[in-house]
Amino acid sequence: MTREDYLRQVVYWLNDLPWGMRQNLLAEIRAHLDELPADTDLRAQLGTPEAYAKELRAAADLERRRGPIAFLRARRPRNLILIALVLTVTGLAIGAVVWIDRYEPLAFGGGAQYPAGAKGVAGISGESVVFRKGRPFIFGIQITNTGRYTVRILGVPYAAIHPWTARLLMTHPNYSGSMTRPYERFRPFDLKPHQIAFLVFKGVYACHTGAGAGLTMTYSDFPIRYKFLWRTATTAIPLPEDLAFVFRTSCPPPKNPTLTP
Amino acid sequence: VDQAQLLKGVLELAVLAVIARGETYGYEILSTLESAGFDGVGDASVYGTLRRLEQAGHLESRLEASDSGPARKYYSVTARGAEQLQAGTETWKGISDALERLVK
Repeated sequence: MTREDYLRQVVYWLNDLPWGMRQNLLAEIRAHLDELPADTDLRAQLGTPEAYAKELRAAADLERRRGPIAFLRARRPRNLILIALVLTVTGLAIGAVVWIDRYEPLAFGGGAQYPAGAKGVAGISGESVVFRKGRPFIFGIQITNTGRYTVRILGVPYAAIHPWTARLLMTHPNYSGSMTRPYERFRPFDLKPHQIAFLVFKGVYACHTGAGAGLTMTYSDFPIRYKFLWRTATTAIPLPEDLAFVFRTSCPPPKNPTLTP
Repeated sequence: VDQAQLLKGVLELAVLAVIARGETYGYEILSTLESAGFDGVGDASVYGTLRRLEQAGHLESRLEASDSGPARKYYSVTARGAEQLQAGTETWKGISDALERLVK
């Protein structure tokens, strides 16, 4: 056993002592051992490292220390700082991921365009409109970014089956909330904090639903697909009022449906 | 009575006595103690005692570079240590005389 091995094992048996004190002891014991002749059999001369540590502890009144404080003090300060740093960074990273995962800044922007003829009907909540195949159709809402960071708007992912064929149009994001034309064809865009954009479907009523006569199909929200940093998500923005499509005649799905948007 | 246990009790006094003769270092203190008959005391006990006495202010030390190896730690007795040695010696003599009278 080399002196360093012996020393390491002695210090191991003193590992409850504060790190600084242990380093001090290590230096002192090393200095003492260095005074011994080079060919000294340390185990024979000094006993086992455990016995040496025990004897030293008794003679120097170094009582065994227990508890969490002693445990922390026995660690190397640099390592404690590193561990604290790693824990802090990990915690912040987890916090950031959770925050980003929950970041949902989009909300109703204050204005909506319901199909022509939509009105309140007794027995049906919100606005109702009678489905008339091939008639002009328009439906959209304003969205706004209530958060502190820009998000990218990717689309309006309504389920494939809905009673219209239309293009998705938009107004350029602005701060005034203007819904006036010109509309432009939708393309993914950045919506900055407090900006408002108007997203609107414009086209004709069409049969994709397979709805029978007497059926009512109600929409309560306007889905927005958006991207924030690496996360892509869909948020359902509640409509100011439900929109119900009332089918007076059956509306069979086409053989080769054209899906929108 | 186990000699090692008996010697341990007076080790503090013995170490102070050795150092009071003049500034010295660990290995020399050990050798002196062994020569004087303290051969039942382990090295760790002596070094532990040195540390305790130094922490208590009875000893002071300085490091001196050595030609043959690492710096050597030299110990000397402080005024407080000298008082401790004197008081301890008197106590020990009292005990020793009393014991001598009993075992005669």
